[in-house]
Amino acid sequence: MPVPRSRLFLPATLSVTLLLTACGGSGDEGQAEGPVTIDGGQPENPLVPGNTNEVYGGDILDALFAKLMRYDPDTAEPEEHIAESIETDDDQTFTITIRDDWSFHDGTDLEARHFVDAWNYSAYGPNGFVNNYWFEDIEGYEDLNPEDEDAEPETDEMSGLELIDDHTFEVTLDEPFADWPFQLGYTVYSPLPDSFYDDPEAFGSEPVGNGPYEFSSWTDNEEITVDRWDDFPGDEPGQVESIQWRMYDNQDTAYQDLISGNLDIMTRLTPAALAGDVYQDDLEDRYIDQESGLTYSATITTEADGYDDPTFRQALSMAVDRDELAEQIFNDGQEAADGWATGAAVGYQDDACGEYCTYDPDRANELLDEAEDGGFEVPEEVDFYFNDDAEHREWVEAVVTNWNQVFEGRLEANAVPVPTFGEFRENINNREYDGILRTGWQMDYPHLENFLSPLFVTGAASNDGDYSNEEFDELVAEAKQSSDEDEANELYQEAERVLAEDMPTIPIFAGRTISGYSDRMDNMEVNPFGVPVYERLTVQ
Amino acid sequence: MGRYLLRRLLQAVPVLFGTTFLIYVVVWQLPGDPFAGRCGDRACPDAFVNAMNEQFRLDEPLLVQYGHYIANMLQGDLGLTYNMVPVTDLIAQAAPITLRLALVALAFEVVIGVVAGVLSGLRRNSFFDNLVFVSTLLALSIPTFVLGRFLQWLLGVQWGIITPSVSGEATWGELIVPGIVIATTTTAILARLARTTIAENLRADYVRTAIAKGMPPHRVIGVHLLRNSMIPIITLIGLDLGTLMVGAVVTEGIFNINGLGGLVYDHVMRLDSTVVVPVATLFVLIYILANLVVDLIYGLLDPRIRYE
Repeated sequence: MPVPRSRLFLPATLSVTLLLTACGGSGDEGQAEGPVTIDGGQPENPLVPGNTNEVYGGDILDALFAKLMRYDPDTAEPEEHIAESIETDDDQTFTITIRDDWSFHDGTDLEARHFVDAWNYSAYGPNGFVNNYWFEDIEGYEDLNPEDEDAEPETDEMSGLELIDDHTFEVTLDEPFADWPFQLGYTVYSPLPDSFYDDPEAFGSEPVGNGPYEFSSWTDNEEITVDRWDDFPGDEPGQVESIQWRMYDNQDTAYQDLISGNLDIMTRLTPAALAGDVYQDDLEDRYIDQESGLTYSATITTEADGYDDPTFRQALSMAVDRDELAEQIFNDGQEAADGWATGAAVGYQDDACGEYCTYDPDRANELLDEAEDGGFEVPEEVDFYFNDDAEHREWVEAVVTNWNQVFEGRLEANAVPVPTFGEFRENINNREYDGILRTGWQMDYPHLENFLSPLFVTGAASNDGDYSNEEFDELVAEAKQSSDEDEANELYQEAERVLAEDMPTIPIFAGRTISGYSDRMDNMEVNPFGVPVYERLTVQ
Repeated sequence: MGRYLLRRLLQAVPVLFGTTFLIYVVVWQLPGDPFAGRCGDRACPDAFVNAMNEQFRLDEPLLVQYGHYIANMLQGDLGLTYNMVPVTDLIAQAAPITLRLALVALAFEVVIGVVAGVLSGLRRNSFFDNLVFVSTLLALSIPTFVLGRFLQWLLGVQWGIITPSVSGEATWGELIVPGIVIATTTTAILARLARTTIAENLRADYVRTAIAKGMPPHRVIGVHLLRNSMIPIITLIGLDLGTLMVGAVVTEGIFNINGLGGLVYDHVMRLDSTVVVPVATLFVLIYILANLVVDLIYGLLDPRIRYE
C-alpha cells in the first residue's frame, strides 16, 4: 500500500504564503549582498541528526539534510522526497525505494545502506545518542539497547532493517503501525555518508548532508553559515546563495538588530516586542503569525495521594482563566489551549477538552464538592513545580493565583521554583515530586499521534505523570494499526477525548510562532514547525 | 624587587590550586544532572546519559575527577564542553574580545574620569567642577543595563550610527559604545576620587613648600601633586581591570559580545563545569596579576614604599 496522501483537516492558518510587497525593491539587483541572516544559538550537541533534538541545532540540520519524506510547508502533509515509494501489505513491513539520482554534498551517491547504517548507529545504545528512542518501533531495537545497562549489546544491527539492493531496503516493525512512515520526515531519519563513521566527532562540527544547503562554516557562539548546494536533486532547490545563523545570547538584542536591518529573519519574536503590538509598528506587515506545535501544560502526578482523583484535576483545570493569562502574560503570543494538541498537527480536533478547559469558577467549585463527596481529600498544599531558568515563572504563578482565588480557603496552591532545568528534569525522572509539574511539548512531526502516544500511553518515555488508562492505550494501539487514515485519526481523536475525562495533564496554552523579517526579504514563509522554509527564501 | 616578584608569583601557585579546587567542588555540588535537561521537556534516553557520564567521568568520585582534570590541565588540555567544543577554543576566542573591551573601557575611565577629576579638583567650585559633579551623579544613578539598552536603541535603531549588536570580530570601533557603557560607573567614581585627592593634596605641606621654592606651577602640579595623588587612583583602576575582565555579563548580553563573562554565565546555567572551572581560574589569575601590577606601581610612585 502506498503511503496515504490525503489527510483530514488542514488548518487554514498554516497556509501562510506571503508574497511580498515590501518597500521600493529594485528586484533584479541580484542576491549577492551577503547571506540571509537568521537568529540562532549555539547548538547543544554536535550537528549529527541522531544526536540533536533542540531548535538551534535542529534548525540548521533541517537545511543540511533531506529526508525520505518531506512535510509540505503549507499543509504539513507528508510527501515522498528521497523516497520514491514506501509500500506495505501488512502495515508492519515497509519496503522503501529511494531515488537513484541523489548524492551527498561530497559527491558520493546516496544509497539505501546510508539509511540503514545511520539508523543502526543512532539506535545503538553504547553510542549514547539523544534520539536513540526514535527507533524503538523497529524490530531488533531491544538487542541494541539491553535492559541491563552494563551489558554489551550482542549486535549492532537491528534485525528489522534489511538491505534489498542499492536503492531499496525493508523495515520491519515490532507490531503494525500504519502511520509509521509519517515520521520519516523527521531529522533523526536522515542518512549519513560513509565519512561520518571515520570520525563522528569531526563530522559533528563539519557535517556533510544531502539537503538544499551545504555546510560552510561554524564559529562557536558566533555564527553558522550554509551555502546553496547547486546540485540539489530535489524538486525545490534553495534560492538564496547562503544562509547564516547568528547566535544571540539575548533575544531582545536580536530584535533590535531585526528592526534596524542588521538581521534578516527572527524566528520567534520576544515578549517585549509583542507587548502592545510593538512589532506591528516596527515591522509593518513584515511578520508571520501562525500556530506552532508547542504546548504549555501542567502535568499532574496521577499516582500520588491527593492527585489521583480525576474530578479534582478537572476542577483545577476549570479554575484557570486561560484567555486572560494568554493576553496578560504572553500578549497573545500564545493562545488558550482547547486540547492536548495544537492546530499545527494533522488530525487536530477543535475543543477536544470541551468544557473542562473553560474558565468557570462556580463549576470548578462544584467539581471539587463532588470530589470531596466521593471521599477525596484535598491535599493541604498543592505544589506546582517549575524550572526557573526560562520564562515560566510568570504564567505558573498566575495559574497558582487563579487556583487560590477560585478555591479560596479550600486549598492552598504554591508555585515552587527549581533553579535549573537540569535539576528539574532529574527530579522528574527520579519521580521525586508529588503534585503538579510544568511541562511542555514541541511536536516532532505534525500529527496528533505525536501529542498522545509519547506522553500518555502507559509507561511511555515522556509520561511524566505516570498516567495509565487501558481505554486510552487501546484506542491509540488500534489507531496505530488502522490502515485507513480517516479511521485512524478518528480513533486518535477519541483517545484525546478520554484525556478530558481523566485530566492527567491540564492543557494551558497552545503556542503561536510570530516571526519577523527585514525589508530585504522578498519572500518568507514559515513551515508548521515554526521554522523558515529555507528553499523558498528570496531577497529583494 | 626581583625576589619580591618571585615570592608573589610563587604565592599565586597555591592560591590557584586552592581556588580551582573550591570552584570545582562548588560547581560539582550544583544540584541537577547536567545531562538530564538536554532533551527538551522529556526524559533523555538512559543510553545518552550513561555515555555522557562516562565520557566526562561524572560517575567517578570527586577527587579522582579533580585529579584527572588537573593532570590534563597541566598538559594544556582543558577538554571538551558538553557539546563537544574544545574549551581552549572557546577561551581563546572570548579572551581577546574581553581584553579589548576592558581596554576600551579602561581608556575611557582614565581619560575622562581622571582628567575631569583632576581638573575639577584644581578648580574647586568653578562651573566646570559643578558640571562634573552633576554628570557623575547622573552617571552613578543610571543602571548599566538601562544605559546599554538606551544607547543601543538611540544610536543603533534610531540614528543608525552603530549596529545594535557587535559582530563576531568585535573590532575596536564596535566596542567603543559597549566600552563606554561598562566604564560609566567607574568613570564617575574615579572622577570623584581624583577630585577629592587633588583637592586634599593641594593643601599639603609639600605643595606649599614647592610653591615657596619658586617652582613653576606646572611642575608643582605635574610632578609633586599628581604623582602623590595617583596612589588611590591606581588602586581603583587596578581593581577595576579585574572587574572589567570578569563582570561585564550584562553589557556583553545586551550587545551580543562573546566575552568571558557571558561564557561562564551560559555554562553555569547549563551545569557545564568544563568551561566554568578553567575560566574562573583564569579570573583568579587576572586578579592576582592586576593586584601585583598595582603593588609594583606603588613602588614607582612613592619611593617610600619598598619591596624586599
